[in-house]
Amino acid sequence: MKLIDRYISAVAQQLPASRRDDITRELKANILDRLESLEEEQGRPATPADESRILRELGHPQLVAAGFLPPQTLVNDNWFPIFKQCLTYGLLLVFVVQIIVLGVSSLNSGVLHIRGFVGGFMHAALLTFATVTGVFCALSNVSATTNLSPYCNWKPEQLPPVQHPWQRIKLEENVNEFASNLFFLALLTSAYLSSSDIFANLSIGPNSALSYWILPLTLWALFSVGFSLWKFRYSYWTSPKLLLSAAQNLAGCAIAIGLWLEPELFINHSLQASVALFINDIAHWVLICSALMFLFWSARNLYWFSLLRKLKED
Amino acid sequence: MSEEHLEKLRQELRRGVLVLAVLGSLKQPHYGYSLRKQLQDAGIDIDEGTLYPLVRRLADQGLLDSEWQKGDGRERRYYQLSAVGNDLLASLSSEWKSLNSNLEKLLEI
Repeated sequence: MKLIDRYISAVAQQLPASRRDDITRELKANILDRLESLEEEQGRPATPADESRILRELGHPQLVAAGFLPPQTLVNDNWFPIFKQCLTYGLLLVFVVQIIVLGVSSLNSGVLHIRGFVGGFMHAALLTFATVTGVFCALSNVSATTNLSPYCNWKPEQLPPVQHPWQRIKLEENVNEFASNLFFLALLTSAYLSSSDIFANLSIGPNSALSYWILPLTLWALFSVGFSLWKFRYSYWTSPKLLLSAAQNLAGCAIAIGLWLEPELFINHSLQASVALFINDIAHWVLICSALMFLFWSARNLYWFSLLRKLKED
Repeated sequence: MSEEHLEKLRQELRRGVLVLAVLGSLKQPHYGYSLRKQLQDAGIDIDEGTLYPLVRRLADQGLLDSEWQKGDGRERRYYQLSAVGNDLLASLSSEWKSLNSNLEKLLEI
């Protein structure tokens, strides 16, 4: 079998049956013309090496075949920005759901299922990716034949009143806050509803003297979850939102300091005394770091509030 | 600016006028390879992997008529401007001339 026939056969394999014969017939005629011209230039019959060089110049059969077909993309340019946004939201939602599943399963069994969390997240993330891509692939194909476009009804008035990057509430920050607070809320609810037997069976459990902290903590976490949802809906800072956020962070700071002042956060049931002491030390460090972070966020909110006021005055 | 970057921009610039060059060449009938030679002789070097699909696309859009002809013992597909293609070429040519004259004014500044 000649090299040219092998090449034509490889191109044909990539073409739809309806156009295969027509395109390859013409392509072969063009290659033979090119070969003939080369023979005239060189004054001798073409060798297999000449054929090979001409075919290489023409390009890989897959690329040549693709050139004869309409451009193929999974998601076209028109839909790509919204596809990327949906994919980001979808994956973040999967992350939040998996955090909740982790919280619930850990509370039921008393063991932190990190491996299950990673596996569950990977599985759900792949499924989300495939589903979102499939939906947008279908939308791209439909919009290729119709006037369907995701941006046909937009209005400039609907754009958020934002001038500077800091005025936007970062999606990843809000998701992080929402997931943490939801997880925290699940822990608190469980602690509130569970009988003391469950904690008694653990090697080390929360100090029952801290039970009066459960109500303020639950209220704070509930408010934080609701506030995050509000920030998802309107993802830019306004003066009231900044003041509320500053107050929320100050309250978080106060609670963390209050807990830090408690001498014993966990009661040892069956661990070595030194290990229990170490865990209590770690918990105190976590609390003081959290208090400092809340303080920083609160100060940042107030700073932005002052900037926003200046902007309004200007 | 790197050579690679310059080459990319050069190709981008040429890509836009290839259709015009092909339509202009096909006032006379040509088969694939002879069209390429004609373009090359006019100083427009275009690789075969780009030219042949482009000609097919223009024919699919009804801008070119085509027919298989036998000559020198081999068959070849000949393309020529259709009536629609002729009208389009006239419009594109005038657009090109206007664009070119405006651009020249800008480049002189």
